Amino acid sequence: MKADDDALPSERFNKIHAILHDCDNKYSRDDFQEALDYIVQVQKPDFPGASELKGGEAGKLYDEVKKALHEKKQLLALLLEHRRELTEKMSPGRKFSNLAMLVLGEKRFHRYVVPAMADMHMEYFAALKAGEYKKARFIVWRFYVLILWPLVRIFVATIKTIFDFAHR
Amino acid sequence: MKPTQSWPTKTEMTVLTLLMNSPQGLYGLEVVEQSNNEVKRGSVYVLLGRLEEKGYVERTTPKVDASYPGLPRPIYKLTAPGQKVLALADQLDMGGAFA
Repeated sequence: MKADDDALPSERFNKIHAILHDCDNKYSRDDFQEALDYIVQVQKPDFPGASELKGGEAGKLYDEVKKALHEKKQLLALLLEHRRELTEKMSPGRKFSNLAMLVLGEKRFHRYVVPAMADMHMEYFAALKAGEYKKARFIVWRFYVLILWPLVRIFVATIKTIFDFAHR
Repeated sequence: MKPTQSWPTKTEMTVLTLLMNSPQGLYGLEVVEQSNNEVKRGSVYVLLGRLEEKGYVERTTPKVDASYPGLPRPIYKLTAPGQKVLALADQLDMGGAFA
């Protein structure tokens, strides 16, 4: 939904209402956030047309939208909480470990990758527990760089050797 | 034991010394912390893996709480051959001579 400052408050509310009753989920979270911001603005006493909104049809719509938005906000919060719970239960690096086992072999994988991954998990879950989600993401990326960097160096060295050999 | 193949390098000797000072064993990251930057985070498990291959270090994985979703962290301990090598190096005063 685009911000339309010229539209009457009632028209804006109709749009917001359409968003809230949309069952196909075609509106993004930004749309909901914009609607929430608008509601916050409307609640201010110096908002143009505030007096008009307090009575009549627009006023009822205002209450309805406010209630619906409150429910939607709660729902979004619940979904976010659920997603966080899921993230906390899932350990990162599962797909990577399948690939690493294929490339390195089981023995090397258990000797070199598994301990590093265990450290990463320990730090990752500690960060999640402390609510530091950015740090948790950084820990996962640092693990990938630490593991992949030697492989990249070997790959580059191999390419360089082949290139040198071809130009002799 | 073939010295040129199996004798620990200087960095490996540092790791062995750290493990000797901790009879209860150390986690990989603890080795990094206690080595004063001599052992890096990216190479600690390569070193420990090599020492394990040589038989100087053994790895044990403690049981963790079932609710913990991550992998359990292994603890590294010095083995009898590891202690023997350290004692030998101490006697000869040649820690890292084959580095």
